[in-house]
Amino acid sequence: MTINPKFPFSRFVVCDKSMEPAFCDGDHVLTFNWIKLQVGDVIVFKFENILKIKRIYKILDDLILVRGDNRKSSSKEKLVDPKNLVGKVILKY
Amino acid sequence: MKVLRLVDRIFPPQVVFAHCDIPCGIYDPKPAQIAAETIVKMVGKIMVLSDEKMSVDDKNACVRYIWTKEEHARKCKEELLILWTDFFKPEHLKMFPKLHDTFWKATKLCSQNKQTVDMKAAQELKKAVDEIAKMFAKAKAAAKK
Repeated sequence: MTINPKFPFSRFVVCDKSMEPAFCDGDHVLTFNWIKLQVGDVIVFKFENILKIKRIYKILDDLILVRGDNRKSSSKEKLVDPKNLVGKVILKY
Repeated sequence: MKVLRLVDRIFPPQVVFAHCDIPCGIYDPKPAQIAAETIVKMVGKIMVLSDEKMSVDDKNACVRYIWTKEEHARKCKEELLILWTDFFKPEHLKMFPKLHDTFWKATKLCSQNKQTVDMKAAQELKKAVDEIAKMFAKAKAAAKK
């Protein structure tokens, strides 16, 4: 499954604790937006015009199943439409 | 890294939220019921302590009971708000005309139980949450038909 955004890189600042310990509140991340996705990748995607960051749990034919690393804070899996993907996190800085 | 941070200072990055409130279709009133039941238990324990001369251990226990009551009132309110805003839909208002009023009063009772040590308020909250659980079960049953 590949993503085809306009620009190859994007910068984001993480809010909330649902991706701890990998990504904490206030961490800055860089995404690469022209990459093939795999299970275990951390992705940024849009949901109702809000940007979300989650880890890929399963890739289905036309949907991506994601969930947060912090199971206390993010206990449920979510389905993401590939057209709403922004990119894969490649760097925390 | 420093270069990227410098870029971020000049052009601030977009905020990306780690917590996700995507409706996943999994709803249950049980966590709210357990939280309400816990509040009743904690209020009972605090009231017993306050009638006696308190030792250091009792004081410690009292703080722990209060903290637990506070935390479960917060959790109860959060769970109720999820059910109210995500599970129940406008069409449920026909089935439950007092839906908004019931939720509004229940969430208010969560706040009241944070502020006070009142067995009547704790029992009222438990009753309200149980009523919401019944409404939830009816709405679920109706959806299966």
